[in-house]
Amino acid sequence: MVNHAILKLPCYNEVLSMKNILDLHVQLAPRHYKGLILANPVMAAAGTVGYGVEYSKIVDIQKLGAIVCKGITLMPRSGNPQPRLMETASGLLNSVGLENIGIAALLEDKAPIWANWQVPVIVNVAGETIDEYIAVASKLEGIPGISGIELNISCPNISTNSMEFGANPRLAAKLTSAVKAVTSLPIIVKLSPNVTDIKEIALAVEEAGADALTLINTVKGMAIDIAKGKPCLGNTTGGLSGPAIKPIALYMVYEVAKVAHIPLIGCGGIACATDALEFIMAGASAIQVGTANLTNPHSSLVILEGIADFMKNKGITNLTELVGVAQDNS
Amino acid sequence: MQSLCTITSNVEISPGVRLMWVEAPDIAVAAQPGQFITVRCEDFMLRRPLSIHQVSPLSSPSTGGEASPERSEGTGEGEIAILFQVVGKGTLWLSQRQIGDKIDVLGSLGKGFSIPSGIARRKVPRQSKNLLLVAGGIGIAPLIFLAQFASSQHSITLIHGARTAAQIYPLLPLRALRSPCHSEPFTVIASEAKQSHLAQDKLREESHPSEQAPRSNLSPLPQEIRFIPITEDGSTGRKGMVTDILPDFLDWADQIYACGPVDMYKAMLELTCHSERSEESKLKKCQVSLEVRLGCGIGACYGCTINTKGGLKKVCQDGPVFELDDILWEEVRV
Repeated sequence: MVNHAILKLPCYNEVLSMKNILDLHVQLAPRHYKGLILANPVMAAAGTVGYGVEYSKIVDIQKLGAIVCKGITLMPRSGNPQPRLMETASGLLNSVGLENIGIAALLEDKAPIWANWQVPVIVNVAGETIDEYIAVASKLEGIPGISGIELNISCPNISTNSMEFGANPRLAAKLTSAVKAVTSLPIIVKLSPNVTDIKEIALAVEEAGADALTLINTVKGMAIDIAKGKPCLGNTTGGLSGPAIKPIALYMVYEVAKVAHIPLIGCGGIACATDALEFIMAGASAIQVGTANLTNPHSSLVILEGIADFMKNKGITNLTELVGVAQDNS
Repeated sequence: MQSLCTITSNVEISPGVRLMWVEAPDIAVAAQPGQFITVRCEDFMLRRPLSIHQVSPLSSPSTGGEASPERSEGTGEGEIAILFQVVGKGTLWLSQRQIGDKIDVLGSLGKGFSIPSGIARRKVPRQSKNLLLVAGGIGIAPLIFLAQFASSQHSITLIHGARTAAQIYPLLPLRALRSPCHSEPFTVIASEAKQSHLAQDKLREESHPSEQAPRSNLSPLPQEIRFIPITEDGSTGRKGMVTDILPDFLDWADQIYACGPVDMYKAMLELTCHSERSEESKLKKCQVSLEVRLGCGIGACYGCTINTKGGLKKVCQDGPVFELDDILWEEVRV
């Protein structure tokens, strides 16, 4: 027997039920035999939410579409000297330098926690050689609590070859297929904006077997302390993130969406639902929130709310209807 | 942890230094001296970390969190204070907020000062210890909270160094040394509160003549505390730096707590190393609060990592309080 009194509760519940009929699901790896389905398009970007557990004390991160954990390497890394952060106009320079606990500690301490989470956790994998990437990816195989790999071929803060993987289509493709060969997990490749033609790199890794692409990582930059006459960051240079790079990221998503056949994840300066929707309309199937998490730990959830509200107001029931609409209208 | 907090008071207590009280009952109850909050300032990417300067918890247990009907307006209960210097655009924006404005606060965060237990336990006699608090400039902020927190059980000396008299925390006149006598603590505190009320009213008249001042915002330091100002220009207290007079207290102190610029810590390290009288013991008993640029404030972004003798530490989560001799000072860049 249905309790009609419950069905007649006022507008808040109507809003909820309206949201329930919204389809926010995203298939991030349609080419993959297992697929990678997110409950919604809002992801936490690598490097800004640590291993997820830190933010779980403040925010209900289980409501996110996915969490991308901090870039992980084979051995622990101590990162770059202080200062590592520098605020700029509408942006943030960082030179953390991939400080991380290493794959062994990740498997021992973090993965068991993730195994109990609803939200998929994607592990961002970084390295200095193809062999290191392969070693890390191999260790992730069959570990409960890990839903995918995001290949970090674009961190601007380590002084080795990683950036070259991101800047060279042939190397990027070679790395992608090498990792693909040792894992059954879906592979997302995170691209660098610090290249001449991002479309070329995108197509190369797509052909090499990438299941999805994240665009973009930070833009290389620096700041100088004029009182001391020296660079502000301990590492001299860093990666720029935040709203300052949003137009750059949006343009790159828009351009790559014209040629790529795999899902794109928009990332770069997304701080509100409007930003997120711009990326989706440019052609992104999902988005990542990074620097905005530092400004407001609840940013991602506010953005998710805003996307749902927008769809409700426009009478759109399925998020996929919005993906790439700006391509058709330009 | 994260909430919008209403500003109940915002006054300039010395040039460029503001004392702000906000409603934050959860933080007021849980905060430990040395912990901090972060405040979102306008559209800046990074939240500004600020030491918790004082707390005023609810006197009766709250049942409904922030909106608890038990919290009566204007009593100052369920509030925390921050004391900050306007050093950039973020703190300038914060200093311009008005009473009634809401600010986005995350806290309480980090690991604060560790205080020797003086609580009387069964079969263990109560032991009072001599705590030396050393403040350089605005570094006084967390040490007032510590002094209030620990004063009922320990003997406290607070040295506050500044460039000039106007920058000395405007709370107490120079006090005579007192032995830690706990015979009438409540009457002592009550009389202090009265004095502070007057001082606060005077302050308000000077800086914000139109504001109503229903209560005291400058909580008193309990009388047991010995307060020693020292200024570089000698305009109040002794003339010099805190590190000039510190050696006189090293033998007295069982535990040292310091908050100030990195140069002060480096000078202290020299002192404690070279003090023949106390070489071994004092080095191991000095806690300092470190300030670096923070990203997330909760240990997730690795923006504030420093190297210590115990390995990599996150200032926001493993600190901001560290043992003085744990930090690899040669690697700390000012």
